[in-house]
Amino acid sequence: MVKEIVNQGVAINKTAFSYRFKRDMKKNYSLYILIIPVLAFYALFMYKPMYGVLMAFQDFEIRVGITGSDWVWFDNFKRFFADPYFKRNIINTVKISVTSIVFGFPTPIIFALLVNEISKKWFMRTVQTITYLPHFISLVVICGMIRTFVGSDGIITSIVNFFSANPVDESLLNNAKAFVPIFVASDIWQSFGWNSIIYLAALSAVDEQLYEAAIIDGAGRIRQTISVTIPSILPTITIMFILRLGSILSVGYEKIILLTNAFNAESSEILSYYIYKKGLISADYGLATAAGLFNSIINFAFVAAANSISKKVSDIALW
Amino acid sequence: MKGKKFFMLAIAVSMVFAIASCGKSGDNEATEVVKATLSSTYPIETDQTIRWWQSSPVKENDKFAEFLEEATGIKVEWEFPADSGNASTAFNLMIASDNLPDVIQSGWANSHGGPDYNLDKKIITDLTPYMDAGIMPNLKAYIDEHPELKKMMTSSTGRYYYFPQILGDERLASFRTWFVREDLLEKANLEKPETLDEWEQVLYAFKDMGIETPLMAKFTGWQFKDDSPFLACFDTPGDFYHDGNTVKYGFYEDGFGEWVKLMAKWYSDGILDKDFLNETNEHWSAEIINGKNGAFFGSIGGNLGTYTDAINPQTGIRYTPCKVPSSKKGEKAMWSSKDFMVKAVGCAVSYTSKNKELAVRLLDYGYSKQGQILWNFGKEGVSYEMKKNEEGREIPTYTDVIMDPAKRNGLTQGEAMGLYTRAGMPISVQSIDYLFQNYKYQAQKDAIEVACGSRKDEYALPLGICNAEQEKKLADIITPVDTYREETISKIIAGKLPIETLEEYYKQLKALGVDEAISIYQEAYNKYLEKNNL
Amino acid sequence: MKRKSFSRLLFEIFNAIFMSVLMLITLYPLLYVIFASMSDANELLKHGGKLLYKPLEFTLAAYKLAFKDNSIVTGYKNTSIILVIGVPISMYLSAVGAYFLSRKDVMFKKIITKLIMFTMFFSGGLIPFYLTVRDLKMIDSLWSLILPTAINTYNMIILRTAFEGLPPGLEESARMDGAGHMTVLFKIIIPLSKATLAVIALYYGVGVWNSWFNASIFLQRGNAKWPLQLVLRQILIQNDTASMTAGTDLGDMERVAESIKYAVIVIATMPVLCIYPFIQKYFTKGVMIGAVKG
Repeated sequence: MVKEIVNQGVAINKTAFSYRFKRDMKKNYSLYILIIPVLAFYALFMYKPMYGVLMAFQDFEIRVGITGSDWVWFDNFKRFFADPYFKRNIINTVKISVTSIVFGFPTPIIFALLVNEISKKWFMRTVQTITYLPHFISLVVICGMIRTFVGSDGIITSIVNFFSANPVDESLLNNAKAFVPIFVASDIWQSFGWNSIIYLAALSAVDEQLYEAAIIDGAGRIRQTISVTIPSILPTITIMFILRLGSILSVGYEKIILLTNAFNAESSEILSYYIYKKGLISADYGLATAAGLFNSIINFAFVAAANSISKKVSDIALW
Repeated sequence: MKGKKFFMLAIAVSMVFAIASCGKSGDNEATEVVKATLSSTYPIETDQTIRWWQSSPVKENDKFAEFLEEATGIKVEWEFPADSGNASTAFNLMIASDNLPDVIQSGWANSHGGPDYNLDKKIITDLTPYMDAGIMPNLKAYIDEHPELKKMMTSSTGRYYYFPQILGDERLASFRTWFVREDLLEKANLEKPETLDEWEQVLYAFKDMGIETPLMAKFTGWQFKDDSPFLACFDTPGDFYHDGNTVKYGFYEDGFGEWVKLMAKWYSDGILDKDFLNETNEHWSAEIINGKNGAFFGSIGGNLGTYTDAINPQTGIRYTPCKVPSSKKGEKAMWSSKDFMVKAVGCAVSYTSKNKELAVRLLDYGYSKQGQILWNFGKEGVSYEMKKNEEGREIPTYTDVIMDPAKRNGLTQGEAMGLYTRAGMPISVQSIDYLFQNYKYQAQKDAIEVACGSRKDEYALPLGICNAEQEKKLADIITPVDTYREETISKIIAGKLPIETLEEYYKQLKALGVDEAISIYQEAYNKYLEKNNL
Repeated sequence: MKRKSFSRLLFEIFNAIFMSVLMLITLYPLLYVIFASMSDANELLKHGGKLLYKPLEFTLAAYKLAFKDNSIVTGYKNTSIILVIGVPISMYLSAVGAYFLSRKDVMFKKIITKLIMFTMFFSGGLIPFYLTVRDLKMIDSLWSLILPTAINTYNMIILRTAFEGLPPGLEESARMDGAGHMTVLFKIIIPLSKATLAVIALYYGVGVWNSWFNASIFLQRGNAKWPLQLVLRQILIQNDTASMTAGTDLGDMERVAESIKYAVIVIATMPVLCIYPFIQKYFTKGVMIGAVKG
């Protein structure tokens, strides 16, 4: 190129912004055009409304909106942290969330691996179709069933009593220690089938040739799983895990409402439920937004941490 | 850190959007010089339409809407949220989006911040000038006949702000009462219990007769407050109340501790429902219908009606309503679950309405003689006819389109009533005659007579006296108090904690700031007394 | 062919037994719901929520009541419209976005990724969202149920992971043959990601199917545009209130409030159950057509 000959004597600064920019445009011009609708979506529906976050710092009144409400800065947060039950709410939320991750995250993966081993296709399809059904039954009905099963003459209560040193004749839900297991176990029961779908998809995309190579090397099925299957779906697993951490403080209250009572409250009162209760007494948008913002910040911190660790250890990360 | 930069950037960007698109209508400062311009008789000649928002749906073929338009001459466009379960969300969004209809039907008396807040923030219109200019003659006439209602429907600053649902008779104030097994009473040769002692006698007798759960109860949330069984017999209701001019908190009083002791005793003796915390509707219904229970507190329509429908008559299980239990024979109970004569729900005219006078005239119609009949009974010859009732009085009597299943086109009675009338929630004076015709079982009609028998009016605090600031402070104190109370008291009653814990309970309530909550309420109540010269 | 080893056989038998048990415990809720929906309401009340092995006094009254007015049919219609228009839009935008986010050597990729991920955690809340939709004049239009929720970042990230998992050599060799971004995306990346695309389509589809809240706040005039779940929710609520005014004469309409809860779930769920077999088609073991050089 003429330019290059003229500039031969001078070192070209390949890291200069304008150089990189021009090169990027030439190479990826069509890509940027392609993505305009996506960017428009985020700008319009995600960023435009984001000023709502400011409500957390206001004594927000609906009628006058953000521009008309008083600024209380960190007052809402102070009130939020000062609540006598704040610590308990956080602990309960974290307990449920961590238990749910520890037991609930691997289950769909293991299930998917086992399903993948089924040799008869019709059986595999039947298993898949049936096990994802509970996901679609409404929470109200599921909780009704849970309360029956762990009720004073429920089938699960009877089983537990059989193995326990102190049989009880009341609902297991009256026992604060039993709450988290009941909550998490029923969650897993309802969702493991549905959650396994993404892993089954990932499993189906594993290159057959890798298996063939492993078999030639003399690997048995277990060896194949360890050295071919799992590494192949590891990116999916990692990303799913990091994303899962992103809801560590976000245990929803709908199910809590249906299962909580005064006896198990010391384990079942979580942050979102408490804020909901307060909201029933006084419509306090500022406080609710502050609580939500706190939630988001903690979730974000966890994900950011997990993301950095993942980046260092492997190549896989959210950003 | 990069994170912070993004956060700031994001906020800044969206603030720009927000301010640019912020077209909130500033002030509608039409100075309120109010003079009557429309005719004072109905139907009014006009081609304007009134937009009316309420939380329950209005069907396309609604007959009542037709009748109302015919009678007043005013066409109404009905608006309602798509999901009546989320009505408050829809309501808030409506306020936030600055698109207020002319008439808004909602619980204005105890809405967020109280009536004065809604008036001052220019959400609803001050109706006092309209009252003074003679544009609301029907409501004015009714208030003149019943002056004690005036302070119930004006704000703390004495302003009129809504057209309320008024109860035409005290017996309309309560839909829930006590029911006891009549067949068991007969077997045991006992009278219907009226005092706490009599109730105890009856319940223990039932236990001896082999009844599994003599007393069914649900002790969560609001049930703890309003409907705690027999709490009023200890001279303290749940929640805040006033004794003379002093505000008190029922759960803080000594009487409450006594009640807890009694409940704990009943629990361990097997009188009280073992599942009082876990009660589901299904379990409750099953126990009652299968006769495993001796008494319960429930609603006249939804509970008693449902169960009577479901109970097999051959089992001989019969329930009969009881008076509100009191501590002394012959004396009315101190408190019961009961509404005020002026209900919290009513219609307000929005501040931004362009048809205020027309809306006021539309709403005022309901309080006239004809208006009352329209709201409660519909149209003569169609949904009601004047007939003599058992006492010889001539009252509007519902016709077959409402009462006869064969002529109702597959609707239930409730649906038919909702089609031709608004008897359940009239912007008018609700008629007791509607209620007696509404229930089909004699036990239900008996229940109407006794359900409201208490002196709650002497003790109940008026609605909406706290401003937004006070509400927030109260919520901050009371939410943890409620949480603590429910957990601790339930455990004491069920025997999981010893009775001695009650001492700690009172100390803990103090530590959580109950005294401050009481003084906040006292402040609000004093202001109310002052403004109403009481 | 290879004979199965004994341990493999043992494993397969235990696996089969294990799967059967799993199927039993996950099938039960649906069976309960079906039986309850066909049971007499009073019998259900008496039964008090215990285990069900069959309908109690078989009756279809709950279904008759639910279908009483046309609203369920309208609901199905509206939800179908949203699916047919909305899911392709969501798929297109998600695929394009995921493609962008999975490319190497794109200068602004990092910052755009961060901006997008940020929205997964922070949002302005309901009121500003509502006002935005209002300002775009989408209130009372079915578009308010399609556009504001067109992209689910979570789904897009999953798709990006799948795209990233494809061998980079593919894009390079295509580029060398002169292909532009559009060609690479539509002719190479997408055909090789069928399994994940099917899953994401399922996620979006089920998301649309189950949604009712946005409809409840954006559709304000009448119920002509209500999607299915909103219609069903209203039926439930109305029957709840009807049961509160019960003890009044109900005539030929047997009191079905208890069983209608379940009938509604069956009506809402049946179509979804039939969809999965179609999705499973795409979970075939992918074989790479040998376009990769080394």
